Amino acid sequence: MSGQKSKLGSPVAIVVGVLVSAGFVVLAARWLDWSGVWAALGAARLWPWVPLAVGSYVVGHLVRGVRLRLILRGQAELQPVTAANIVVVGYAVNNILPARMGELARSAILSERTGLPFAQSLTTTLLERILDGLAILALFALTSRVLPVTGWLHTSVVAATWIFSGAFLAIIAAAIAPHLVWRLTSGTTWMGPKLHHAVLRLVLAASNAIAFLRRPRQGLSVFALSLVVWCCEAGMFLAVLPAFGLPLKPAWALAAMTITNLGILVPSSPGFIGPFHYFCMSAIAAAGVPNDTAFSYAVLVHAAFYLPVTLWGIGALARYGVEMGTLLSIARRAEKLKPEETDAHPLHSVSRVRPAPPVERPPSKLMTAIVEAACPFDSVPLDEAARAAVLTRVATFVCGQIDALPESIGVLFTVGVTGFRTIVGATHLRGFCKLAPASRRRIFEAWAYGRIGLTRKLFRVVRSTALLAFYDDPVVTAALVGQAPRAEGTAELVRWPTRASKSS
Amino acid sequence: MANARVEVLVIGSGAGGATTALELARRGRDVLVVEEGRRWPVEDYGQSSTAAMQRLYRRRGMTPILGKVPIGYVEGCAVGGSTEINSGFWHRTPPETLLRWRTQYDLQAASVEEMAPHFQWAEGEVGVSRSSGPLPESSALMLKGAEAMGWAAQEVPRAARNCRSSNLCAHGCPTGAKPGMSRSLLPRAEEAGAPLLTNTRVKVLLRRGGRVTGVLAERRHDDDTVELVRIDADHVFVCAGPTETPALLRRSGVRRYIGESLRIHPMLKVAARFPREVDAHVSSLPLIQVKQFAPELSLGGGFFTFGHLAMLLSENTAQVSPHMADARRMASYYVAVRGNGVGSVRSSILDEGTVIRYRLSDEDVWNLSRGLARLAMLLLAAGAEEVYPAVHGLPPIRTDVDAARWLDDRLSGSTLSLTTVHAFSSAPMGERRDRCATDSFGKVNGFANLYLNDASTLPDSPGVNPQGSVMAFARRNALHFLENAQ
Repeated sequence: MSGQKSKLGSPVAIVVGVLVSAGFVVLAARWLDWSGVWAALGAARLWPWVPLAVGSYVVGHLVRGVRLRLILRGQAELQPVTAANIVVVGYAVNNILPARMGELARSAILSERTGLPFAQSLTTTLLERILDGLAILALFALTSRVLPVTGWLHTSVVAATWIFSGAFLAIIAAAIAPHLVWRLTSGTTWMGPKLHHAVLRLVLAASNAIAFLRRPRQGLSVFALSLVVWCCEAGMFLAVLPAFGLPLKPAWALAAMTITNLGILVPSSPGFIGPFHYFCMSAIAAAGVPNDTAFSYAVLVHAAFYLPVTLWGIGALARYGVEMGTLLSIARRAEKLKPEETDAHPLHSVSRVRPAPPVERPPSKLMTAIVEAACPFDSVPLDEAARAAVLTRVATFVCGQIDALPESIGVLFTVGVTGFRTIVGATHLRGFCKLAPASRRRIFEAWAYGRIGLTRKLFRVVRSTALLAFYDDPVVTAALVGQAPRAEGTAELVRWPTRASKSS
Repeated sequence: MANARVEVLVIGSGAGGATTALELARRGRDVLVVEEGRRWPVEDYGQSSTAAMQRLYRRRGMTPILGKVPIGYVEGCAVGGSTEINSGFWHRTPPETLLRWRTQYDLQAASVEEMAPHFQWAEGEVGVSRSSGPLPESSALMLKGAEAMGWAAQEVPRAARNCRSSNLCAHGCPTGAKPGMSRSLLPRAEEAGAPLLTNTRVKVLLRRGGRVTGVLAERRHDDDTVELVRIDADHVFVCAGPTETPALLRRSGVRRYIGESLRIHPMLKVAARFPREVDAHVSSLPLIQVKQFAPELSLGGGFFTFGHLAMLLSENTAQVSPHMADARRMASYYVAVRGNGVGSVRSSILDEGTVIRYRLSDEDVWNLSRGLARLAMLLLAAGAEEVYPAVHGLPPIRTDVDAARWLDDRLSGSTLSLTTVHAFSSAPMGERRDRCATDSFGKVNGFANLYLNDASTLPDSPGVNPQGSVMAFARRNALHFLENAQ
């Protein structure tokens, strides 16, 4: 990373960035009457619009944290606030240092916080940016009908669409066929074991980073969150409009947000000074707003974009810097790991990661209610406490079994249960969980045992696994045969009488 | 260590993998066995059905076979593979089946005489014998029914010499009487110098031209870290079972006649209620199989717990609980057909799992219908009051006439709730290059050092429990490898 840092942070890159920024400032200034700009800024109503804008932007970053957490699910466990802090560190560093150094800083701190390989963290960051690009383009497609885009802007948007879509398709292909990528990579044994393993490590890390795309539910959730993130950012652009007496038009805000964010992809100075103002002003001016007001609007939005996140990021960096120092001092005292017994096997280690431990999903209220309706609790004499304990055990087992289903069937099941919940809500005017137990049982039987094959198939997995776990529960079995429950792991062996002894 | 490689890498420790490892290690080959599942001590066997599913079964027992008629399929995922959870029933491959394999697949060196020494060896290794005690009640009733109908029935030998009737075969035998591979061949293979690497899932075979140079595998450590390791090998035996072997090969780019011709034994279960208590939940498995209609059709007794009975009844009726009051008077039985449909196995692009499909043929449905008729007639003749088939909407069968109807009427495929525990033929062996994935001894066509040696190579449905066939062919192929490998 130090190598990358010195290269990217070289004086040439800084000078080029500053020159690009200056170029955009000059471009914007050609159309401005500075006295008009000052007048517009002076007349701006900051309260309550600027705090609202900042709030919307901050919520967007919290959602980014949730998205990062979801992307890493199964690979690393992150608290939502920590995830948001990591994201914000990247933004803050981009605001302070040139050449998008924030992306590297964000990857480094993600790696440090989670123990993931740096290559995987970097791939995750890259993937987030691609998802951001796609979400922005999707929102842009919505606004382009309101504010028609022509000329160089149209060309730029078409180019961006090709780039982001191409990158995304390549990532999707690598995600759904990881073995092909591994096989191709592992064919590079001619490079020698050291380089071969390094390349494999890199590919595996990248492959792990995009693994979530193989799970449609998770992939769709991440994309939906990306749209939410950028809607929040559009909220910032929207909230500043009334500060200058401009109409509160979401289409204008969306157009300004998408065009500005596509524009700041151009390498420039820290904080995107210049490109941010130029593209934001151009978008608003295209809606018929005078240039001076449009530029003032861009200045205020940039301030809302720059200051709070930079301060938040510096605070997070300071905190993690202290924690890292503590970790380093502990690490210095740590002992080396003993060689493993399995080193006797002819294995070549390629990489080692610590994924998050699998989470045993507690059953949801809806699943618990469905399981309760599936099991004939009233037919077995159980007291309240025993009944509740059996229900918890059965519902937990059923949810575990459903989670074990192949992903494609799991998705269908989720869709089916959502349909069930919706139809029951619409026909009974209240949720399934709020219905009386007898009604729930009746509805369940109609779906699970009724004439419609599709609903029977949907509930077959719940019905079967629930009945299996219910009747094989030691408490229920004992109640059925009238004996004390048998402790788990103590198989009762039966010696069968001989035919002779039976007849006697 | 940098250039270390193993001479023979065996992937999978089930009936095929354990046999291969043992025979090669005993003859001085440098063998390493890798197994995806865990090694469980005998004390951890015999837990409840829910705990056993979580520990010993692939996907916790939730592996559906997709198709117009979905079929429930289970297989083991632990050291010893499916031999840890099967019933230990033992059959030699029927002569008719061996002849058909010769005719249809040009399978060489697989006559009854040529296979006999391999069966004898396997039977000695796992201690195949007949039950020494009296028949459990559910078996005695089946025998009584078969005698009343005048049908040939037999007590099936089992690889469970000292069975103590704990009724826990499917949960891992807690007494060790049924020696799954983890208690029989694998310890002997380890003693002979074939180490076993557990918790290691092979993700892809590494190829160079017509050779496999090794594998990439994911290894789960005790500290919950996952390590990607490369294992270099001179020869690779894939023995991961009928679904995982083709899935691994296909995701490694080996696809010719791989995963295209899956066969299974579709099975329809019934519950029967008798006038007196049978107590099948604490009995050993029903040991009687009716072979009058074999190999197309077999009738036998099923593994029984109250939970399994409730599942079975729920396929037939919504009112399970009133019947469960009679649970001690009930036992479960099955009709299994040889399976004339064809299925496929693919590696899932969504979750690294395996996608299995099977198209139930018309002939399968006819055979299941007739099988249900015969099984119901047999059970009624044995004294059953009612027979509940796992068929949606079909009323309980109470009379001979109700049962005999299905000799000539065909059940509707969409109402059937089918299961299976037997799958094979997903990479058939034989000399017919137009339909076989390997030669007659499991060597994959087009590869110099890649072999398959498990149920996937059985050319077609054997029509009987397959553990005997898998072990005998695995030994035959291992010995052929020793004679011919350079």
